[in-house]
Parts: sequence; structure tokens; C-alpha cells
Amino acid sequence: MNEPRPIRVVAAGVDAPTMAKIAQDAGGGRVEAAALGDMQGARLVKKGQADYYIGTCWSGGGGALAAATAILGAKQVGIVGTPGMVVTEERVRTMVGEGRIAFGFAYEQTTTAIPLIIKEILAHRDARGE
Amino acid sequence: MTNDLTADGPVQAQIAEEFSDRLDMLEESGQVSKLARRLTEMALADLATDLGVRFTEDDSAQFVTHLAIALTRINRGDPAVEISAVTEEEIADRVREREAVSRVMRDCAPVLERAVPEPEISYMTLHLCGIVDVQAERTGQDG
Repeated sequence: MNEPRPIRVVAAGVDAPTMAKIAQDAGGGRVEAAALGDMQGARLVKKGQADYYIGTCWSGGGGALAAATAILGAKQVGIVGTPGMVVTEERVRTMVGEGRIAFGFAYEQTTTAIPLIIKEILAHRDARGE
Repeated sequence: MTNDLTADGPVQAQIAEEFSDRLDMLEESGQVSKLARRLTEMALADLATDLGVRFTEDDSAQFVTHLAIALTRINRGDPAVEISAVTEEEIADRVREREAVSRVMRDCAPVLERAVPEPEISYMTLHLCGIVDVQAERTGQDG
């Protein structure tokens, strides 16, 4: 039986290389993550050359997902956290379940948000037998 | 348009050209208004002149996006953003950059028909400080 293809994640925003490393580590060998500029990353997802986009900015609001929103469309993106909104498993699960493929949060939430997002993406894929 | 934003023409032209793809994308997707775009370009040019920095897509993309979206949000009268202790701590001693941002935003206020709230000033300052630090480090390495 063939090994499933790794899930390809692009990370953009404040300290994107660290974001990519956290995503890859959280994926336990099932995730390949790369740090890119926001426009380049979102375009790769649009072209199907990456599966998911994660973005940060300092406030978690507009900047984290601005390029992804413009390139992928508002229905494909979701803010999972801001300084005033804690990242919760339930919110992430809901957004992944809705088929959203780009997630934004505040930079200070990087270490909590990314493992949760990766966990829910993997669970979603497993449930669909992917 | 305010006459208080005073940056020279060549700097404004460089800014407009450097970020045209990004600002086109944001404006065309409805995330940034035409007014906010114009103010963003003018504010960037003013900050570049004031602080002696050169904004480029490589090191300033996030700041430009943030600024354009924030100015759109402020002009629309959206609720003020919340500021985190982490952010305030990061910029606690960055008086020069904060004053530059505050001055430019005071000049933008009449055009926006609203004062720019302090938390917005803080986030703009945070972004700006990152660029100033990267360019200072680069200059140090070059020198």
C-alpha cells in the first residue's frame, strides 16, 4: 500500500521559518511545511501546489490572512485567534471541518495555534480516509 | 487630501511602484479602500523620509498590508483593536518610531475623519520597528 502524500503547509507572517518548523514538528512526519511570502504562499495553495496556509500578524486580524483572502476567497480562510480571542480546539475543528484551508492568528499564539491546527487537519484527513 | 504629509515625489513614486501588486490585490478584493490605499502610500513615503528607511516588498510587505487594512478599518469606524501586553512591551522604548507614526497618523486623521486610536498606533509602530531593526542590522553588516 502506498504511503499517503504528506500534507503541504505554507507559513507566512511574523517569523515564518519558526512557524514552518512548528508545523512540521507537529505533523510527526505527515506534514511538509515551508516559510514563504504571503502572496507566494497563497498562490501555491490556489494552484494546488500546497494544501494549507497558516498566517500570522501581530494583531491576528487583517494582515495575517489578507493575501490569502484576496487570492483564495473569504470562504476559504478563517481567523482562529487574536490577542482578545483565545485559540480553541473547537473553533479550529469547526473551521477545518468547513473546508477552510487558510488560518490566521496573532504571532503570540504561534506555539499554541499551530499544533492545534495541524492536529485538526490530520484528524480531518484521517476521518476522510486521506 | 491633507497637505501635511510632506514626503518628496521620488520617494512616493518608489513606494507606489514597489507595492503596486500588493495594494492592487488588496483593493481589488475589497479589503482596502481607495482612500486608505492612497493614505498608505503617503504615510509610507513620509515615514521613509522621516526615518531614513527604504520600504521594500522583501522586508516591509506585512507592514504595508497592516497599514492599508488598519486605515480602511479606522475610516469605516470599526471597533478599536485590542492591544496585547506583549506588543506594548516590545515597543516600550521605541520613542522615535512611535512619535513618527503618531505624527503621520495625526496628519491622516482629517482625511479619515477620525482620530487613529492608540492601539492602532502601537501595532503600526511594532511593524515599523521590525523594519528599522532589520535595515540597521543590514547596514551594520555592510559597513
